[in-house]
This record gives sequence, C-alpha cells and structure tokens, in this order.
Amino acid sequence: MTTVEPDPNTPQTQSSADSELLRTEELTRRFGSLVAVDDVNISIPRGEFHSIIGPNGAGKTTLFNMLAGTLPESDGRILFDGEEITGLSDHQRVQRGISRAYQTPQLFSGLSVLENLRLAVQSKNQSFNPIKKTDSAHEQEAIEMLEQIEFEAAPGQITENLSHGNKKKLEILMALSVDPDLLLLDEPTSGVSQADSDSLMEFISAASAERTVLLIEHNVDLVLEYSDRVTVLNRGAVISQGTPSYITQDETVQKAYMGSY
Amino acid sequence: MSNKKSNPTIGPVEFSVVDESMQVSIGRLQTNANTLLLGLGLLVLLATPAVFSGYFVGLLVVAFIYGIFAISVDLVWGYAGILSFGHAAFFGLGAYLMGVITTELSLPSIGLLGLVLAFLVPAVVGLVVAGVLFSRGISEEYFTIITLALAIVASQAALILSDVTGGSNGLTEIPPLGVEIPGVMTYIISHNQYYFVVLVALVAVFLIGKRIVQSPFGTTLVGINENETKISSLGYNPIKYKTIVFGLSTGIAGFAGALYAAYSGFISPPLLGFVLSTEVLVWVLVGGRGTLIGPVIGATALYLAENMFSGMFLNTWVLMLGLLLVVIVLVFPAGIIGVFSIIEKKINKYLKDT
Repeated sequence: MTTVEPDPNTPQTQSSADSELLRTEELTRRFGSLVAVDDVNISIPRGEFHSIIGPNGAGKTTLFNMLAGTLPESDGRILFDGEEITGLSDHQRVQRGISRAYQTPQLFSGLSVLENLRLAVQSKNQSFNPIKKTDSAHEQEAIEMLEQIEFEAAPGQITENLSHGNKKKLEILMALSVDPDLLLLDEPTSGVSQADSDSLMEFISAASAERTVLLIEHNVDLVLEYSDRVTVLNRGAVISQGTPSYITQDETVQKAYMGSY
Repeated sequence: MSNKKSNPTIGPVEFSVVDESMQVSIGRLQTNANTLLLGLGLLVLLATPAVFSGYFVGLLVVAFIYGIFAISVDLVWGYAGILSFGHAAFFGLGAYLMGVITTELSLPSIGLLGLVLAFLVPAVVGLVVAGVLFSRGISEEYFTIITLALAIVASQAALILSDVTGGSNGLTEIPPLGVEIPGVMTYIISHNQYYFVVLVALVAVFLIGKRIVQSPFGTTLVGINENETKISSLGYNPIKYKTIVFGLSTGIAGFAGALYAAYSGFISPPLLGFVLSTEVLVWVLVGGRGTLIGPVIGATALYLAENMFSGMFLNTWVLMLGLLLVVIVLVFPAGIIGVFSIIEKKINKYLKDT
C-alpha cells in the first residue's frame, strides 16, 4: 500500500461527488507474480484533462486496458459516472461513454478513411437490420469529423497506405466519433513529428473541451502544458498526483525518473 | 484476434487513385460498366434455354442453385471472416426438410411452405449454433472445427434416422415445385421453367446479399473480419453480428438445398456432408472471396467443368481440380474476380493515359 502525499495546491474539485466521472478503488492487475498495476486509486472529475506519466513498464497501458475493458481486473473496482463498471466488456463501456485511442493505430486497413469514420459514428445508433441503407446523416457526420483536422489524404483512400501521422489522426478521430464522455488517449503523438505533435495536441485539447481526457504521454512538455492534473505511476503504483507545477517539484517523481535511466 | 484476412470490397466503387475528382468519375464508370455487364449477362442467361440443349440447361439449374449456396458461404467467410467447414449440413437440412414435407404431407402448394421452412429452420439452427459457440468465447479456429464435425454428424444422422430420411437410399420421388389452389388451379413447374425460377432466386439472393454487404451491418462485418478488437473498442458487440450473419447464411443455404431437392427429386446423405462443404469453399475461393458475384461464377464454372471434363479425364479430374486450387491460391488469391479487376485496372490506366 502506497500513500501519496496530496498536492496542497490543488483545489479539491473532486470533493463534490456529482462532479466525479471516473474513480478507481484499489485497482490491481497481476500477471502471475508480477503486479503490473498495484492498488491504484484515482479520482477524475468531469471535464478534467488528466495525464498519466511514468517510466516504461510503469503499468500505464495496463491501467488503460482495464479502464477500457480489454483486460479483466484482478482486484479492485472501477466506477464511472457513479456506477460500477468493473467486469463490463469493452463494447459495453463504450456505450456508457468511455472510448479509447490505441497507441498503435487500429484501423480497418481495407476500408476507406471515410468508411472507418462512419463505422465509428454509426456505433451510437447500431442497427441489426442487415438490409438497412446507410444513413446519410452518419455519412455527413463522418465527413464533418474529417474536416475538423488537417488530413493529407482523400476521404476515399484505403487506410492501409496512409502515412503514420494520418493514421494517428484517424485513430483519434474515430475515438472521438463515438462521442465519449471520457476519452482515453494512449500516446497520441508517438512517432509524430514535433510540429505535428503540437497541432495534434491543440486539436485534442479543442475537441475535448467538453469531455474528460485521460492521456498517456511520453512528451513531458506537452503533458505539463495541457494537463489540469497529472498522475505519476512507477512499478504499477501511484507515486505522485497533482498539478503540473506540483509534479515537477516532487522529489519522489524526480527520483523515480532518475532511477529508471 | 485475427487482423487482416482479406480485403472485401464494400461496394462496386473502390477508390485507389489519389486525385479525388478522378476517383469519383472512375468509380461511377466502373459502377455503370459493372451494371451493364451484369445486365448483359442476365440477358444471355434468359436466352440460354432457347439456344442450348435441355441437358446443358439442367446443368445450369444445379450450378445456379450451388451459386446461391456459394453466396451464403461468402456472406460469412468473405465478409465476416468466419470459415465454416460444414455449410452443407444446412444445405442438406433444407433439402431434407423439403423432401420430407412434400413427400409426407399432401397439402396444396406444400412445396412453397417447404421453401419457407427450408429457410427458417436452418436459420434458427445456425443462430443457435453460432450464438452458443461465440458467446462462450470460442476461437474462430475451433468454430471451424465444430462446423466440420457438424457436417459429419448431420450426414451420419441422415443415415441412421432411416425412417424419416430413407437412410443410405435417400429420399426419392420428391415432387417438383408447383402452385395449387384447390378447385381453382393446379400448376406444376416443368424442368425447363424451373430454370427461370432458379435464375430469379439467384438474382434475388444476389441483390439481397449486395444490399446486406453495403448496409451499415455489412460494414460492421467487414470491420469484424479486419480487426475484431477495434470493432469492440468502437462499441460494437461482435458476437451479435457474427451470430446474425451466420443465421442468415445458414437460412440461405437451406433455401438453396430445398430448391435442389425439388429439382432433382432425389436426395441422399452426401448432400449434408463434408465433401460438398469443402467443394463450396473451393467455388468461393476460385471465384473470389468477398465479392458475392465471384462465388456464383466459381460455382457455375467448376460445376459445369466437372460435368464436362470428368467424363473425359475420369479420375484425373479431381487431381486437376486440386492443382487448379493450388494455382489459384498461389497466383490469383483474389480468384476469377481478382483477375477481372486486374484487367479492368489495366484498361482504366490505358484510358487515363490516352
């Protein structure tokens, strides 16, 4: 059990229960004898831009996998919007309002850019009628999604041949297209040039103004610039949590980062 | 989870060029050309009975029924990526339902009821089988093996339940399809007229299939085939989609089986078994998986070739078929339709250059 010194400078926004969107209680994931995520308690208020940082192997993606429902929890609970979602499958969680962009873009490579987006848009009004025609409103919504971002490929292009940067953008657009309350972003700027990273983060920040964002990111400068609060993981456990300025001055964080290099 | 298995085209329009305005116009051209081609083909098929011998027309009837069967397999395999090694069990189930109902019950227009039941019963069986297996989290490999077992069980069951199925002798004297309203009219469809019935059924099933794969439901199936994890991450429950398409597919397979029973008048256990299950996969593969029309072409071409050449080459025919399959898989993995689209691209490129 690790106790974390609370950041004295953080206004305790999460104190009122109805503003809390996501809460984990003693969330744990074990792989055999390895504890990848160890007793993590986090509370994210609605509307917060919250980043999770930590050295490689700290358990960030494992935590995401449990939040998104792609990996079963070993122990602990996850509460979303006041309701327990522990044990729900990934698609059930999307219906509740959690969506996730993968670090490695997971696109439908044989489908066009627009078809990929339409699939994401359509998931809000799913139809099991196999002969229903495509809703032109969905098509339109997908086109509008695409217009929000600078995209150097035709909407009809098959995604297999897209550049890495475009694939990353499309991955994020798809996660946004399901209109989530909570957006989980796993290293959206990895492998993207510095200039593109900045514009991508600008876009994410603007597109998620009304949403709650949980971000995993290696680029500490971006994290400090955009985050309301930051959680630092090390060896599966939370070692620090607070505003960017608090985190940068926390000795535990510095030690953990120094120790890993 | 399997990632990319094939790249089925969602519709006739497939973009690949960079310039957008160009893409749309080429796409339209292709769509028109495809429609024109299909229309011409249909005209030729309508005129066929007037030109060719009754024997050849008879071969075409069976070939078209197998074409419908191949479409049913393409829906699950070509689009959703579910490989069924036992689809003949559902084809045979439809055939036996038709056979048993029409020989046991002497009700007016019983054949039409048979056709409906031959769709509904296999569809429900398919839904239950797929629903139970997929919701238990079974992997696609095991699903394939279980469908294989299903075909073996079904053909054995037809042998054992001889009181109903006639055992190894099969069912004979299945009446041809007809419409009968007592006291008003009786109309039995002749063998030659049956050609048109089957042609209409084939076109209808093809158009419905086209509609299915172009629907949002169909796009979701392609998504499942390409990346099931991602489909889940977008909020879709892949199990539901896979179950529904499997049930639809087994229903269509049963319907094709009933058409077969009413035409041939005789059915026997091999119709349910492993060999036909494998053959239909070969037809789909040779024609072009994930194209709907390809499997129809594959089924027709190979069934006709088998009947024309197996007499000429006797046992070596099976050997030739096997070699053909190896060549297709290695050289033309997209099948006959794939060869067509290569030629089409060449022509388009030529037109663009000049």
